[in-house]
Amino acid sequence: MTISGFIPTTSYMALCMMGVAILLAAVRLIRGPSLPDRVVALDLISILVAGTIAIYAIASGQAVFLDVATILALIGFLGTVAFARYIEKQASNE
Amino acid sequence: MNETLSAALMIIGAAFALLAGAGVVRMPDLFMRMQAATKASTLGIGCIVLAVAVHFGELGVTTRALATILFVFLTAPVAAHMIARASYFVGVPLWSGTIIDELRGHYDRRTHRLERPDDPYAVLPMTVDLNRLAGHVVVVGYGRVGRRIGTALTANGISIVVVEDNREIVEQLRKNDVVAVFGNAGEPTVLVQAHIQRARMLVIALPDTANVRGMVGTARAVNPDIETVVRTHRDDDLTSFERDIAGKVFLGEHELAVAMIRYVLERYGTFTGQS
Repeated sequence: MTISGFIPTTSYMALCMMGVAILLAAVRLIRGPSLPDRVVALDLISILVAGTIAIYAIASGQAVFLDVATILALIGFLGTVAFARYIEKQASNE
Repeated sequence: MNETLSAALMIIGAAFALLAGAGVVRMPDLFMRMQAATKASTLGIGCIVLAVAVHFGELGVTTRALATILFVFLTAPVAAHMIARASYFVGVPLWSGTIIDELRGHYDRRTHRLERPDDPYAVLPMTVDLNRLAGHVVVVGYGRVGRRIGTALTANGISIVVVEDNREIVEQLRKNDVVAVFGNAGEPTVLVQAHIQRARMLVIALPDTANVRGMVGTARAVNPDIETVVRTHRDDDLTSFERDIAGKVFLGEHELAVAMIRYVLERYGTFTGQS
């Protein structure tokens, strides 16, 4: 498919929106206040970055970027699960 | 056509992502932030990946895109549930405006298991006609006072829901087709189980006024228009309740005295031949 019309413009617009969303999530990551808050923010960031990469796949016309997005979502999920288990273990050890 | 669809999906997805970002910053406690973040980001990434599939329109890309969506839709709720569960155990504070924490007291703090199965008398049976659970009167306490109130209301065709912490009374009431919930009305979940949010009046017929403020507070929080009726035996309760609760308060001794005075005066009226 040839890149024509409004796809480049909309994809850059979407990229900007994703950028703002990631920044907002980063605010929560820094502010906390609790560890689970940060984990939630990190989880959100990982999924937002995956979305950003998917949009970039459209912007660049390279479908392989979709695989990158998939892998990132997978890693993000594993990270979140590991964090959740860590938090829970910590709670029961007290 | 495909281009338009793909662009629209992309923008919708990015908008959901923005919503997730806003929610995670603005929401007042972890659990609310989490529901904003998880739902919006899942929908967002779903739309975006769909946009990729539409844009390329190739079998290989579409398959991978659908697989990604399926994967995210399966894993995001699992991850969110795990964090929420862990955070609840660590005691992450709830928002100060939280009214009901239905899990409180139900988890074993050591084993992290739900302690007791739900008591059938603590929840209303599904068979209760929903018409009886709207505009009704919630009667708290079914002792000597509550029973008289309940019987009179039922006789006048007003539907009631009884809240009683004596299990046998609830059992008996249910046999007689009276809608009743077993539990301590001081716990918000119990009042909610009695459908306080759709009730017209709350009548607290308990002799002990220790939990009255909490009950009225819960009722007002979920149903601001509810009318409340309270009884007490103490003069200081009368004034403080009338001030704080702003509902009808009955002082037991006062009402008894009024009834006796009326009787005595009536007798006098009869004896002296006056009316």
